Amino acid sequence: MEGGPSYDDLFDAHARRLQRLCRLLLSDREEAEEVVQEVFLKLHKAQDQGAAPTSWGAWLTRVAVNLCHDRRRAGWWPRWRFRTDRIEDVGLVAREPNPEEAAIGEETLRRIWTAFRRLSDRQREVFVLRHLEGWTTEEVATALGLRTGSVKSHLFRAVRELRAAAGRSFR
Amino acid sequence: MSRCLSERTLVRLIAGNGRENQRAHLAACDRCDARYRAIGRDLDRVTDVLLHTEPPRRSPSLLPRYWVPVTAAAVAGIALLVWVEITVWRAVTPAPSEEVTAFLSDISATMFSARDALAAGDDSGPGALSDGGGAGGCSSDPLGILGCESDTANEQAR
Repeated sequence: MEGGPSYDDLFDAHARRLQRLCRLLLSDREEAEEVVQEVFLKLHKAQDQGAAPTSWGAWLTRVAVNLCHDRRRAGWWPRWRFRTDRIEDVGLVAREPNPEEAAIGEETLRRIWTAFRRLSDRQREVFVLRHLEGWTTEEVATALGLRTGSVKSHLFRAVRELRAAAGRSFR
Repeated sequence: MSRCLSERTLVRLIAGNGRENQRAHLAACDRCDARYRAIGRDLDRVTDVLLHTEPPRRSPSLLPRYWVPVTAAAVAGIALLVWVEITVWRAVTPAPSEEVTAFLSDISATMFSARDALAAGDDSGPGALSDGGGAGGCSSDPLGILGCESDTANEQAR
């Protein structure tokens, strides 16, 4: 295609970010990898068909969020069945903490992650897009098919829970 | 100056909600502004954690994996027992009240028919009963079940 970024450029620029995004939304590394593969398959098809969105980054994010959403709705059984015994979730080898982990402390980390996992799917999506991806409330609303008031409401609940988890040791 | 904003209102403002007068207060009040920034810093820490740290390892516990099927099996078992009790067991077991009623009516019919027969025998003479054998000369209990009134009276006289 002419003018736009190539498939490889987009992959290099966004693959890691999308991987992280999907992992946050799905809480499962393997599923996140599958979704990212699916996202780039859709990118390949879209480029073949001559699609030219304003921002490929936003397009990829939207596709990834929708696929994660579909995954979670697809069926509770496989997710529940393998939820507790993924081999990569088991600490087989002790890992050195990175600087952030060392600075914050294990207990606080655990509390924040626990609070994040307890958020509803919508709250998690809204928080990730708004605070981690840096989207505006309107962009989040458009991407998720929600009203802006609804986005703000989900965001309020998510922020309140996460702040409660983080605030105890930060303040 | 109006009253300072609550923690909840500050979080609401961070989430993009809140009214104009609350935003105006936030712009004018240093104390609320400092609290607002503190919440923002907390959220920055949260995003740092989510972006740059690995989620804590989960231990492979058996309990969460098996409690759902075990609970489901227990509930199904209880439901089966209740169903058996309600439908099968009651269908094959006769109602006890009818059985007892029939038994009692048989007993009373037997007793009253025997008493009537004895009353008829008394009319024919005082020695008729002892000759016939009966229950050892007892007129009130010919079957010997309830005890003899005359025997009791004799014992009391003694």
